[in-house]
This record gives sequence, C-alpha cells and structure tokens, in this order.
Amino acid sequence: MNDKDFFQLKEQLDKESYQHISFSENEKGRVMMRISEKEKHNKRKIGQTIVLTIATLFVVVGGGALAISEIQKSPEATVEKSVDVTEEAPVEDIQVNEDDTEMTSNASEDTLDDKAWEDKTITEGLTENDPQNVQEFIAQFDEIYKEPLPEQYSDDPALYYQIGAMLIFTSLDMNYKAEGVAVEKDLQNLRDVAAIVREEHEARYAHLGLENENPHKYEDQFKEPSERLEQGHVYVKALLNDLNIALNDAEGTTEGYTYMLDGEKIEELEAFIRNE
Amino acid sequence: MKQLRLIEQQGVVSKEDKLMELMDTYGDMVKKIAYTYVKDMNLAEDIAQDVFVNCYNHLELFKENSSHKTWLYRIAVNRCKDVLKSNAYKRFLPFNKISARSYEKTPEVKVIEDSTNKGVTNALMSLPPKYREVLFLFYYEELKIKEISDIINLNESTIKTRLRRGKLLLKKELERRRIEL
Repeated sequence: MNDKDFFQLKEQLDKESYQHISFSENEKGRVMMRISEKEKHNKRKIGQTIVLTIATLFVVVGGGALAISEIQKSPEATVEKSVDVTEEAPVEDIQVNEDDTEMTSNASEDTLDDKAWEDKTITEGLTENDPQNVQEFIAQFDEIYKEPLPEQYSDDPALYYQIGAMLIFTSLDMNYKAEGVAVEKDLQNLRDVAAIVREEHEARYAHLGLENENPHKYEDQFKEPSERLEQGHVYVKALLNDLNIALNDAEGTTEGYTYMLDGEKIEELEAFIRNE
Repeated sequence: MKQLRLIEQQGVVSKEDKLMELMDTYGDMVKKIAYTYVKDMNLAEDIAQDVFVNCYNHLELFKENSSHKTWLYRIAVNRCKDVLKSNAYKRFLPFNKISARSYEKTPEVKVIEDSTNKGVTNALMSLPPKYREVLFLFYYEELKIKEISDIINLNESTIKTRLRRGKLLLKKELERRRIEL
C-alpha cells in the first residue's frame, strides 16, 4: 500500500462514518444556552456579593448604633421596666396562647412535612458551569425561559422550546433530584411536561420516515407544532416560575401549578399530562 | 466587553453572531476531530460544545496571527486530550446513566453503529491516539505538516515520524481485517 492508496482514506472514512457527523442546530442552541446561563450566573454572583456587602455594613452600623443607644440608657430604668412587664402579664392570656401554640405547631408540622424537602442532586457529570443543586437549576431555567426568544428561532419557536424541554428532562432524569412529598410531585410534573414537548417535537418529522438521518436537515418539511406541544411549553414555563418562587423565594406572581405553593390548577396540569 | 457593546451599536458583528458564524463554518470539523479522539458520539458532542463555549469566552483574545480554523483545531485537540486523561472518561459508559425513556440515539449514532461496513474507521480507531490524530489531521483534514505541528505543539520531525509509523500500523490493521483502500 502506497501513499496513493492512503489518499483514499478520507473518502473511505467519509463513506463509512464521517459524512454523517454534523454539528446540529440543537447543539448550537445548547452552546448559546450555556453561554447565556453562565452570564446570568456571573451577574447573579456579582449581585449577591453587593447585597452581602450592603447587608454586612448594615449589620455593623446598626449593631454599633444599638450598642451606643444601650450604653446611653440608665441601668436602673431598664430593671424597673422588666419587673413591671412580668407582674402585669395575665395568666388567662398565657393559657390561651399555649392552646393556640399547640394547634399552630400541629398544623405547621403537617404543612412542613409535605413541603419540607431536601436536595439530593447527583453532581457526577456536572461541570463547574452547571447548576449544582435543584434551586440553582430551577432559577437558571426560569430565567432562560423568561428571556426573549433568540432571533434565529423566530421562524419556528417550537424548535427552541424542544431544546429547553430536552435539557430539562435529561437534567431531571440524571442529576437534579429532591426528596419531599410536594417537591417530588412538582419535579415529576415538570419532567413529564418536558417529555411531552419532546414527544410532540418528534411527531413533527415522524411522517418523513427517516431512519438513519439527522431530522434537522429536513426542518423545512416539519409539520407545524401541535397545540399539545405549545401548551406543554406553557406549562413548563409556568412550573419553572412557580418552583422558583417556592424554592428560591423569587419575586413574581404564581401561576397555580405546584404542590409546593398549594396551586389551584394542579388538576388541570395533571389532566393534560394524562392526556385527558 | 464594553468595547464589544460599542461595536454592536455601530452595527458591526456581535460576539454572539461571530460565534454562530464559527459554529456554522467549523462545527462539523470540531465534532469530527472530537469523535476521532474519543470514539464516542455523545462525548464528541459534549466536547464540541465545550470547544465553542471556550471559544466564546476567549474571542476577544484571538489575535489574528493564526486563522480561526487553526485556533479552533488547537482548542479542540487540547480539550480532547484533557478528556482522555480525565477519570470521568475512564469510567464513562455510553448511555449508562440515561433511562430508557429519556435516552434517544441520535440518527448519526445509529448510522455509524448500524453500518456493517466501517472497517477502515474501526482500523483507524484501533490505533493509539498519537498516531490516529496525525493520520486524521493529515489525510482527512488535509493539513500540512507545519500546521499539524502548530496545532499539536510537536516539532515537524516528530509529526513525520508519527505519520510514517501510523501509516504502517494502519496498513497492518487493514491487512489483518482484509480491507483494501
């Protein structure tokens, strides 16, 4: 075999395998998403640092002012006041308060049991740029989903929706886990609606009968996205919003789809998932 | 970053647009290089994405004293070598972590896996990475020795030696598999 034979190496490799290797639009979309996430993460870090610095200054200054005011008060006046308060407290009020306290603690125990949760994220496979726990994951995706649609997807937004859905589904499946009655149900619902968006996306090119080809080469022949895909995307977005409020105390109005926030539209969501 | 924003306002290409352009032009190339090193399509996809994220982060540092193509080759090769050295790669089991419902083999994976006639690809992939990379860059990417030397950061005589030995090894492997080019 001489060099001339080796010059056919490229042709043979292409014929066998390499001609099928391409960097798809989905993959490009994921790169842009990662960049966007990282920039938001960096901005958030800067924001947190500023808030922390201000809070620290506030505590230091406030603590100093309080110390000064305490020093300026006379010691005798402080002792007289505390004795008066103790003498005047009615016994009946204390008894009533104890009953209320017991009821409240029972009720809050029930509520806390359902809503209490613990992060059980599997960090294997995550890079330093990835969210490291469920809270960060939800926060980042909620932010991404609230951003305007990237211009390159303006002709077919559903192509962008399915990238996010796929990332959410795979991430929840592989890494981001939590334990807790309410939160597990909510994350399961999020995973399920993301799966629906993906399945409906696949249905857009099922009619092409492609077997061994990258479907995204035939995007111009895709069917229009179904209503179920569009609605699935709406639910994904709403769940991210509500979970961000529930888990991260994010600001905003709840949409009513989570167990964590006793949402009133959970049945509507779950009926959609069951395809009723 | 401020300077880039000013440029954006003046209607010149933004960093994101530049990245899209690079991905459109060199995306396939980067992924093929990655596949050649790691021999796994899913990992090659991850690496290709890492390469472009890295590229974006260092776009303003690109000094134009090499082409974007060479620069991307270099980032891709370095990333692949980092992955090959990592412990994660050593215990990487394709599709292991992914549930049956969530995992979907991409069409290109199916084509490559299902193909019964990929003897030359398999023969190339069976070679040690240091021979595989020079053969791929020289014969498939059709780079010159000098370019390969810049990318892999080895002197030209070493590149020539590896090419010569790599060809011999590949020839033996093809003969063993009874394949003619």
